[in-house]
Amino acid sequence: MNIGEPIREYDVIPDDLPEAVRPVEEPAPVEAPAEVPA
Amino acid sequence: MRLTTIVQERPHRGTLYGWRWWWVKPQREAFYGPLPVTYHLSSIHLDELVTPRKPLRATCMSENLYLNPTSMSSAHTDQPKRCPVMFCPCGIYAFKSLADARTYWEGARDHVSIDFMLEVAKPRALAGRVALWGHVIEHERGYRAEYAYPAQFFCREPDMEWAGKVGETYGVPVTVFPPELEGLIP
Repeated sequence: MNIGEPIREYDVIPDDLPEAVRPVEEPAPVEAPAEVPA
Repeated sequence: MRLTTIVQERPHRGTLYGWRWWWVKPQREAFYGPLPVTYHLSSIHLDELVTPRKPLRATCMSENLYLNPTSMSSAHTDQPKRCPVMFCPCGIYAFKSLADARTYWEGARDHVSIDFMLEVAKPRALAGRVALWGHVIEHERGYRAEYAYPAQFFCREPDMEWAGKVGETYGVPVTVFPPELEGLIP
């Protein structure tokens, strides 16, 4: 595949991956309410 | 190779997109009986199926090639586990423009192997935008990337039935070529 000469290199930090491979964000754990002394 | 122009840049924030063509291969789930068929993508150049819903990750196959093995292996000496690296042809390729991707595909389809023709009675191909991320080497007309996955497929209207099945398998939207791209359909 002739894509020409290399120009530069870098790391790409993705911001909108295709939905099929998007990491699933786990819901944040719900903290139990603090017990209130009677 | 113009070594003086190569620049190591800071990280690029935001997914890159390129253009590719894929062969589409029907995969039969059973040899006998009613045969539900799914469609899988295959590289134009290599006989490798793209796994649905899993990013492609580049691996260097230079050790298996007979093309100038000395220079290829030395390209990885400093970064043996990194792929792609600058002076090795490894990585997942994509073109910057659909026009260049089409030109490449037109050349490749004329060299389809006999094995492929025997396996697939009616060769089908899909064009699409592909998301690229991880380590990337940018070239004049395209990219070599560490990770890739199709982001959108394009087809002709009569092909929508089977192209839609490919989209379902891969979880990728399929649309008919918009009018401005019709001139680029082979």
